[in-house]
Amino acid sequence: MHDAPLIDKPQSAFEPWSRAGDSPEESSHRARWVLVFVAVHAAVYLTRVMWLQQLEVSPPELVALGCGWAAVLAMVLRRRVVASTLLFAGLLTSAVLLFPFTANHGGLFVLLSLLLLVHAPDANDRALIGALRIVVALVFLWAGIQKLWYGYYFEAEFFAEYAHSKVGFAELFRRFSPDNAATVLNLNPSQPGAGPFRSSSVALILLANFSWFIELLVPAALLKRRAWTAAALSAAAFTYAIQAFAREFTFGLLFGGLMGVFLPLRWFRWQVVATVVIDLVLLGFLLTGGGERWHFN
Amino acid sequence: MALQLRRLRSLVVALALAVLVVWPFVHRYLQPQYDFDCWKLFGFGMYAAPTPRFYVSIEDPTQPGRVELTPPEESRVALREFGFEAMSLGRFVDADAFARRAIEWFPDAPAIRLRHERTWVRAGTDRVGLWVRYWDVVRNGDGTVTVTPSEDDIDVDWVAGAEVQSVPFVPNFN
Repeated sequence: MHDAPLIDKPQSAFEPWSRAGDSPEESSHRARWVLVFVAVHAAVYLTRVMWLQQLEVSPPELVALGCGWAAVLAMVLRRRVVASTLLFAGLLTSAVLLFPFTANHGGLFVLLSLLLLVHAPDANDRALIGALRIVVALVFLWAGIQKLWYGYYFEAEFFAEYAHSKVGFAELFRRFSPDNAATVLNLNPSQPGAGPFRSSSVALILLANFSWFIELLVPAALLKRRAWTAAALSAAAFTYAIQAFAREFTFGLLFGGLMGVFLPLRWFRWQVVATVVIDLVLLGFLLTGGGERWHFN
Repeated sequence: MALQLRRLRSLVVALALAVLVVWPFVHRYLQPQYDFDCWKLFGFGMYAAPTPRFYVSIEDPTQPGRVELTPPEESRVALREFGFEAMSLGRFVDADAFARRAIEWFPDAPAIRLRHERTWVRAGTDRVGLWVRYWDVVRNGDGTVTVTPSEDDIDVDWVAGAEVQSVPFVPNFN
């Protein structure tokens, strides 16, 4: 008779989410790749919001930006506690400095870095991965609930208005609803009384309603371990497809990339590598003045 | 020490997750009452509703009708930032400091009116609605400045081009 191995004793209330799928070694590898993903993506995000968007940079903004890139350096040098601390400091500073304009993904970045920080000292990776999975599922769920609750998707109302702000959505509207597109695109969204902003295209209405439906379906599917890969792939594909039209790459890559915590480790690794490469290409665009600024939201 | 660290961590993670579960509900409940932008304030309401558009102007309240004053060129960035802030925060915005700064751009004016208009497509009618809020800024005889926000915000909806309602601001926590 012998006791169960120490590693199997519950160390966190979130272990049921972290145990499924990953061995302790895999959890450690996954945690390292999460740090790579968050550190590089956050550093590029901070470069845009703290520096390239403005003409003048204040000392606190420089500190936030410096923290972001110092965290990447610490991550490369395998100083996990230092990297997590710098990430949290940089992202929290930027969120405070940008308030009230801080984007939701700016807040999500802070939450992710907080989770990385509190799990870093004793490298409790299974608990970290468990908490991350819950956060990712909750964020996706909320995005779907809010779309349903505000009611701008039942007749593609959101798409009709957004087509005035984003070229990609205007193209989408023309493709799916050419008869309706001319009328809707001629409306002035700043003119009180203008409207109605909605679509008569069945295809576009189905597509719009699919948006909130998949955001509710995916978190429900994630409750079943066997459905993780299919649900995470669907969610990532959906996010990347939407961002092909909205072209908000920081947001899209973050949300799509985070679904990787539910994918098999080797897939997640490739996803992180691809995201880092895209981030560096985007950074090149930013530094050379290429592309539209809002592409990097 | 390790046990304390574990407890602290569990507390931090539980708190963070509790906020993530509860705050979007509160956010959605407060949004129609305070008219802040659902894309802001961490409620994960991005893409849930169209982003509002805004227009900020400074008027001369001593003249009949709406007479817009032309602010100096260097005030453009500040005006735009204020417009974004008022759009993002809705009724939570504190315009006092900005209003005091704005009257300094017009040294000869005894009073100005700072006006913030916001338009956005309303769910239900699917037409553009208008929300107007203004602040009267008066230079007193003793050199002090008084800022008075509009008592009722003008909140206007349209159905087929006709104005159908004007709703005063009444917070409702029932």
